[in-house]
Amino acid sequence: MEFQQRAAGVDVSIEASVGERLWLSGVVESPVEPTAGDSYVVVDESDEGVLEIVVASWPKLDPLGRLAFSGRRRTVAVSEAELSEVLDRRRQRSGETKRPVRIGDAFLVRGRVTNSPSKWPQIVDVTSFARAHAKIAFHAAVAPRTTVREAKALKLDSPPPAPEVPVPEAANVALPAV
Amino acid sequence: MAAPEPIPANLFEDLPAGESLTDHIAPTDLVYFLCNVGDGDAQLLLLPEQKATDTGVPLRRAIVVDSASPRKIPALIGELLKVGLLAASPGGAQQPLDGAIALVVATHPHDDHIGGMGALLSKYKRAVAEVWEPGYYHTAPAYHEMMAAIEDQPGLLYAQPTSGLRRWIGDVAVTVLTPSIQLRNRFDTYGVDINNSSISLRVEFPAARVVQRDNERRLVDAPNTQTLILGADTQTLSWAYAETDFPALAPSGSAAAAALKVATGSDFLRSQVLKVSHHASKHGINLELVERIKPALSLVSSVAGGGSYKFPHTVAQELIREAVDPTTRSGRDHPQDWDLGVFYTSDTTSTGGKLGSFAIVLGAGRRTVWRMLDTPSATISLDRAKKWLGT
Repeated sequence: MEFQQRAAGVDVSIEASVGERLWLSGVVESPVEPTAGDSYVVVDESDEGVLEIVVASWPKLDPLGRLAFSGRRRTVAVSEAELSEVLDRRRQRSGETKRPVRIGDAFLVRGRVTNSPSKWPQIVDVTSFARAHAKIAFHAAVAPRTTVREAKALKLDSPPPAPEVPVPEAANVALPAV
Repeated sequence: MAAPEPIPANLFEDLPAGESLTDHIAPTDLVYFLCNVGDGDAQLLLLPEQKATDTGVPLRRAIVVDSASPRKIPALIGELLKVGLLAASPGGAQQPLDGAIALVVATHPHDDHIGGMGALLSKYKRAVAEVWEPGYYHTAPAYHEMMAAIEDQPGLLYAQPTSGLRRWIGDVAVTVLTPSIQLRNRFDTYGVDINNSSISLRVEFPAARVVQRDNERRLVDAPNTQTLILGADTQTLSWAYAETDFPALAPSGSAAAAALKVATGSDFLRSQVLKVSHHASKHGINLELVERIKPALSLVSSVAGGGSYKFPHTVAQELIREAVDPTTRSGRDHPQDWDLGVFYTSDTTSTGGKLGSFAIVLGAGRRTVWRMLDTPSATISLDRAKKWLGT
């Protein structure tokens, strides 16, 4: 008997290929409905006020629901101050919390023809969605994916059980991140 | 930024007519390729020959550390297969034997390190036995491609190593120096710079320590081992953990120590070859670290022609020089970088030739430096190389 390093899980025989559905298309929670001409922009590096951003075509989903990027990908340098100002202005208008630009931040950019963020007609922060999908990409790669039925049997989606011994209220506080 | 000075052309020797680099590699040698990909990393260690357990045929395997572009490492693997330096699959000369790429390390998920990783894993499939990456979730396209390629190979062994892990592959011992588990546990809080998630490695060769003669075996000191430190993009914070995880142990000459044959102490970070971390950025290394490593060869992968970040940074260049050749007290000037064993993938010769990628051939107590004369976008040919004649 032979086991794989990681169980094959479901549907692993499906060859990766780019489907037709754009990532985040039709997602109710998404702040934007993507179109085929949009760019996917990720902050990859940061140093001395210069950001290296990776610019790719907006991803589609493959048959397994993975982000699939096609076409040419470019890494370009942009001013951190300029991008921050654009984002701050946008966040102020929409009542969102201001925050500094971080590596891993991801944006949908529409109508981008230059590398100057202040000249981008539309930029939408999709970081939380992108982070969630990066985690999905990781966990799907290293451990088996389950069927809905298996997930139910394993109680993967259920709320955690109540603690057997009640936790004193003072200790029931999440510690700040280091 | 200080671009490297051109190196006198007479310090190099062309391959003799009709010869290939292959003719200068012995079966017991380890060859370290640091490829010229500009401000990025793509490295391949060609391991010494080892007899296959099933056939007894001596074959070589490889370790790949980062693949910045989709072409450079696959083209090098193609060259190695073509000349028989890497075990080929019986089914096709352009595909390595299953498991012939013993380990692939994606040091951290920056595009200039894993830009070609998805393509590499997809191309070689079962030829890759094991893959390591640090476990830092990244939103970049290259990360998604790499993880999808791993997902598509459920037989591929996957691990997230942290400092102290040791893996023996044939006659080579690989030790993970960074990241510390203390850093990895903080990755997802976004409290750790992505560069400090880098897996940096210490590679020691040969790893053999026991000599067997009939039914007798004895332990040897192996004083002629060669070690390389592949620094990825590890920065100061992560190196600080490495310096405490791997302390310099003082030797003991006492009679009691000798009688008990206790370990007499050494500096585990001491190494002959250093792939300077983060393209010699000012955040990549520090003086104490390089003093401890004391490398005979310090290799920098950078364009040295500007780029976004102006690598290599003068601060880093100066501290490497000072670490390997202290001059603070004497006040004298450092000799040229090449005399200190400091080289760049962007090196040129005094006659304008590009020197490009490195092939460091490591044998018993000896080290030969070859330059492969390629540009970042060109592929490596084993038939074109220049041998460094310096010390």
